[in-house]
Amino acid sequence: MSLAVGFGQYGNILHQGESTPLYLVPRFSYYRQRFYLENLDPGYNLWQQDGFLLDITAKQSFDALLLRQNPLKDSLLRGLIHSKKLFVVPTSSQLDELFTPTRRHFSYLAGFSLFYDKANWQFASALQQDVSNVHHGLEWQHKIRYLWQTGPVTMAITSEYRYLSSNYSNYYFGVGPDDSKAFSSRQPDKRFYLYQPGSQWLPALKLESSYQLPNKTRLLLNWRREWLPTAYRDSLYFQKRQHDIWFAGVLWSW
Amino acid sequence: MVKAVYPASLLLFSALSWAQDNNFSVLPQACISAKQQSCKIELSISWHFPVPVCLNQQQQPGRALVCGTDINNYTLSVDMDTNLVLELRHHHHKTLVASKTIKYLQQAEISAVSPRRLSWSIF
Repeated sequence: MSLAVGFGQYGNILHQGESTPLYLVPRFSYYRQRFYLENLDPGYNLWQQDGFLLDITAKQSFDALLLRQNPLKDSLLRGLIHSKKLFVVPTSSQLDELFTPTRRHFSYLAGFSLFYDKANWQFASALQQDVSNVHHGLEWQHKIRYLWQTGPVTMAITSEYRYLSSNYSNYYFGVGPDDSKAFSSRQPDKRFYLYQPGSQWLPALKLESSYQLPNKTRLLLNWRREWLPTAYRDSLYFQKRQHDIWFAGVLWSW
Repeated sequence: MVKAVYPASLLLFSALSWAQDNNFSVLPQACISAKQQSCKIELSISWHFPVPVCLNQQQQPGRALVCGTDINNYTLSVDMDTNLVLELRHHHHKTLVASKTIKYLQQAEISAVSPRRLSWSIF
């Protein structure tokens, strides 16, 4: 069990969005025989040989957080104003009444993860499907990490690349049928605005550094950036296509 | 006369040092703690030397715990959270005669798999 105390920010990519400050970040890990739990992500090792590890894994998806930091309607309307798209608005209706963005729910994924450890390198590939009945999509995430250590200083650089299936991508990063009203009562199936970006690849980079102090404490400086594909620009919600998380502080473990 | 005795005693000490491991015993030689706690242990210490020597912890060099030539089963209670080094030093000129390291060990979590994430990675 660890607790990081310090300051950081969970970036906000929505229009008019403000980053969420981070002061406390808890961390939990438990390993017992072939079972392990890393925060909310459990795993069970099925096979291991010559540095290769195959696990059945599950994980909490936090993509819903990207759309929970602001009133979604405000972000969508702001995106509409800034958009160069041409919108046809019925003269009899208020613009804000046409949009009814729905809250994105957190999803829980489960599947298989393959790890390969060699010296300071770790390669991981996880194929996981939504098992929480939220969007029915899947994520295929690849990570490659290099670890460097000298004395009390440890640094890690991780390159990530994740594939989101259409269902996953459309749910969190699209404008769905429930997000806007019908164009007219005569055309109940035609939405005022509908955008489905489809399956996408999202790259990310993570830099982590730590300095070991006495009594199971460490100084931490961590930063992660994920790049959203250009296709998400037409979702109107997002002002930025770079999502940053960073934290600097002290990690205490017990 | 004094000048002659002092180098002579040093010479004697050098000659004796080859036998230090056999003459100085500390049991047990390790303390195993559960998880990440400190480790309480009672050490049984014995030594046999022709000249008086004093026992001290390396972390507390000026503080002799007991001195003598023949000590049998001297009991020392310690609370360890790191390796403990016990030293025998000459009673007068504090020369190091022998030392023993009592290892501090932690009981490992019983796991068949290596950690998937860095222990200090927070996101």
